[in-house]
Amino acid sequence: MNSLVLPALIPLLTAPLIVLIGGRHRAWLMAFISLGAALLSVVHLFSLGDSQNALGGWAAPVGITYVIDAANRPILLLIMLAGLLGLLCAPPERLAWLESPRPAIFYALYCLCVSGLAGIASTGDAFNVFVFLEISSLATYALVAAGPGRKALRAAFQYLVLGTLGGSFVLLGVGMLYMATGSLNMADIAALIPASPLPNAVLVGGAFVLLGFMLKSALFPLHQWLPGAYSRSPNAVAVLLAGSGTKVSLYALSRIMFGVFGVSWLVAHQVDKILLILACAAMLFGSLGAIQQTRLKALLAWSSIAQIGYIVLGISTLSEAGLRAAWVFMLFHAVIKGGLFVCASGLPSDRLENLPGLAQRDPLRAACMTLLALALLGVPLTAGFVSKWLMLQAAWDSGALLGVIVFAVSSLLAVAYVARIVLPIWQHSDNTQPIITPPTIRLAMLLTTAAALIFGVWPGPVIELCQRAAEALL
Amino acid sequence: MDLGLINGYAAVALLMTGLYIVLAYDNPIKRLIGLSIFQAAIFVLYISMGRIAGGTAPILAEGIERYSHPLPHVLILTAIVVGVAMLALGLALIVRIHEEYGSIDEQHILELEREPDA
Repeated sequence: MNSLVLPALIPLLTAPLIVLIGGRHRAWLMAFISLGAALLSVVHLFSLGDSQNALGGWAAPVGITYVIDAANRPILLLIMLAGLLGLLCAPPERLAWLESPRPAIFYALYCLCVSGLAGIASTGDAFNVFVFLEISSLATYALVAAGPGRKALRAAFQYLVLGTLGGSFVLLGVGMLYMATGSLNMADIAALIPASPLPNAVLVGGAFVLLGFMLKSALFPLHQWLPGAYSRSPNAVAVLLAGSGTKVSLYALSRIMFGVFGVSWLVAHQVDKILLILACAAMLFGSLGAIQQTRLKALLAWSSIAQIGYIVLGISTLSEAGLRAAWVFMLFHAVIKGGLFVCASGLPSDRLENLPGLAQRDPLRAACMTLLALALLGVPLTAGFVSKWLMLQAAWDSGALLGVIVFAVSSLLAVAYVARIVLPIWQHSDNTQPIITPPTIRLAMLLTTAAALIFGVWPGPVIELCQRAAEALL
Repeated sequence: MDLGLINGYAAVALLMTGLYIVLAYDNPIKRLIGLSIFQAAIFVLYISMGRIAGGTAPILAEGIERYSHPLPHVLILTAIVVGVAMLALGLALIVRIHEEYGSIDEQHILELEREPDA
């Protein structure tokens, strides 16, 4: 039964080994093997079914438990796939600006970050969530600071300040829940809340935990750290963060909401309405922000803020269809946005005005970028259409008319910023110097584009997976 | 005022002080100081909740029936380590920012940033 800890444990243990072994190429290979092994352990969890593991033989609620069910298995799969995808974009020669021995440390931090994310997704203990949150966050701050150029340092510092505030809010909230119930085990807290002698402490504690995770998942207006962290970091880190970083926080948010507080508590304290309003603001201002950007990665980052709004719209319906849509959206958006950040890596210039002529200079990249951008927009026959359609249906069925209207407006605004990527790519330009793309990045581009198209035509298995996730959560 | 909750009031005061410093100041070192105060307030809150009226140190001994609750103290040890790591990383970043810009003053850096980037 100890295989439940493997997704978090394998990258955690390989991180120091990578530093000890050193060397750019060996470090990259080792990180790749480590995440590959972790991916295999997640695949094994799929065959294991729902299970719990008491660490060190201490049974819940005293000991720390790891809980694997239908809700977090897809998230674990997502973390490992995003991790491997990011590594494909960071072959050692792409980190030329990092002098030795920093590349090895970079890959070690990368593994630590993945380990922390996997830990958040698999633990059933509220304090353990905080510990893993800080492991992944501290690693992420350092990874963002490793980006090219000095602006990465300031983006990393900004992220450190806001991220630490978010983590501290979670700590504070967990402390208050512990005061009110005397337990740290999520399932146990859920059982003890109705009889708690301190309902106000439950309320304030819950507010702090949810606030902390909203900050960590960059829900508007707590998004200020995201554009810098995504657009200034090394491309591999941007792929990992866009693919899984905020998604894991959104998973933790839903896990706390449904696994600890339950729907009736959430409705009684109007959490659904607050989330709906924040989701609408995120959809609107994220898309408006994306339109104004002049750099490709900053545009993608702002678009992510809007997409987080879409996902939270699904969560805010508190319904099975909404959660299913949110899970589908998370998985497909990770593929699409991860793919777009892959396409943005290795470009000689990040500025939008240098995009014209890309179709002549690197046809494969131009084709993948166009298809993925259309998928981001939600054009039929792409994965983006499936997730947007499910989300719209769920919002309509739950009667959130405001959400449906803002959803439509935001999608229209998305046409404007997607056009700012897609149209210039196919324009003629005098600069026809070919761009040399390493084979690993080509592979990553092809894989994500293929996934975005295949799941657009054949989304059945993913929807089925997410249906079970929604049932497990509610 | 109930003196029994004085630790709680102190924690809230520290919490607000820390948050204000983080949000109101531009100087990165002051912001880190604010973050540390903010975290220290949470530590105070956790440590206080382990106190049980009439309880003694949680070491098993003859003739003692009431012990303070040791778990919050253990938890907060973990959080203190996390806080130290955050502080070290933050200060390291500030050193790097100073190396690159020759200043940690936000206004000065913003003037340097006016130049277009690649």
